[in-house]
Amino acid sequence: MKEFFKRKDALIIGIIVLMVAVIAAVILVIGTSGGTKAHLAIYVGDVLYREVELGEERTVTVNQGQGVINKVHVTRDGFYMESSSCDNQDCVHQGEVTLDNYEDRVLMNWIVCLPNQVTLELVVDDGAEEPPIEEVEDGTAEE
Amino acid sequence: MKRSAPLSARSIAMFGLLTAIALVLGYIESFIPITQGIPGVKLGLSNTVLLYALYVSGSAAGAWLLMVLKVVLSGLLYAGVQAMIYSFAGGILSLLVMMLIKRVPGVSIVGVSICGAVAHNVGQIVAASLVVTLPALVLLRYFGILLVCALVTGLLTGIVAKSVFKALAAGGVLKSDPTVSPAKKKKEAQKSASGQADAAEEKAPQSARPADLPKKESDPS
Repeated sequence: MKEFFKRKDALIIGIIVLMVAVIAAVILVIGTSGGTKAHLAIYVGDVLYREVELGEERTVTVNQGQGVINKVHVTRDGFYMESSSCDNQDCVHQGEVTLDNYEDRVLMNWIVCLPNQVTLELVVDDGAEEPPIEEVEDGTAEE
Repeated sequence: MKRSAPLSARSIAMFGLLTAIALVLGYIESFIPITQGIPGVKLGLSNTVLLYALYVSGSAAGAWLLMVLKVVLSGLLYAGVQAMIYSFAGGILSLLVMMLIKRVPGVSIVGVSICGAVAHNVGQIVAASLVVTLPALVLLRYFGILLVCALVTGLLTGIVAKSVFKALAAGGVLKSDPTVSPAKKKKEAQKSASGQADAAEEKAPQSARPADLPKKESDPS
C-alpha cells in the first residue's frame, strides 16, 4: 500500500473530507423551510417557461424544436421527468419530487436536464398571497 | 530559429492508441451506473489514459490533444453533442490541475488523480451554473455529493494507473515505472545490487583463493 501513496496524499484527502464536512454542516444549519402547498416552475435555460399547479395527473410537454423535447408528468403532490430527448437520461432517473421527499433528495426540489437546459422546480408556497397560476392542459410550447 | 522536430511515427501511433483506449473506456463506463440520476457522476476510467500520457510521454501538448480528441469524439459517438460543453469545462480544469499538482513533490499519482477528479467536477458545475439557474443551497449540496464521488473515483483510477505502470515496467514495455522518483530508483537499484553481491558471497566455496593473491606454480588454472 505504501508504494501507491505518498505523504501529501493524506493532506489532499484530508482537505476534501473537510470540505465535505463543512458543506454538510452548512446544509444542516441553513436547512429548508417546510410548506404544505407547492407548484411546479419549468425553466428553459434561466428563463421561466411555465408555472403549473399540482393536482390533476397530466403530462406537460416542453418542446424547444429541433427534436429537443422533455415531458414532465405532474402528480397530485409532485412531478417527475417522464421522458427526455437527451442522450444521458439522467433527468429521467432523478425520480419524483414531492412535498414529502424534496428535502432528502440530492438535488432537493429540482430536476435538472443539463443537455436540454430544462430545469423543474417544486416551488413550496410559504402561505403568502400568490397571483393565480396559468393552468396548462397539454403544455405544448410554441417556440 | 529552431524548427520543432516532426512527430515520430511511434508518437503518432501511441497517441492514436491512447485516444482509442480513452474512447472505449468512456463508452464502457457509461454502462456502469454508479449513481442513478445525479448528472456528472461517472467512474472516470478514461482519466487513467490521461495520467499515462502525463507520466509516460511527459508531453503537455500531447495530453491536451488527447483530452480534446476524447471530448469531441465521445460527444459525436455516444455522449451527445450537448454534453460536450460540460465535458470540455471539466476536462480543461482537470488537466490543468493535474499538471500543476504533478509538479508538487511528495504527491503520488493517486493524489494527482484525486485532484483531477475533483477539478473535473468543479469545471462541470461551473459550466452547468452558467447554463441553468439553481439556488446556492442546491448547488452546494450537489457539489458535496460530487466531492465524495470524486474522492472515491479519483482514488480508484489512481490505483489502477499505478498498477498498470508497475505491470508495464515489470513486463519490459516501459523501461521503468515513471511514478517512482529517480532517487528512489537509484536506492532500489543499489539495494538490489548489494543483495545480489551478498547472495554471491554466500554461495562461493570456502577453499576458493582470493582473487588478489598470486597463483602457486602447482595451481592447474
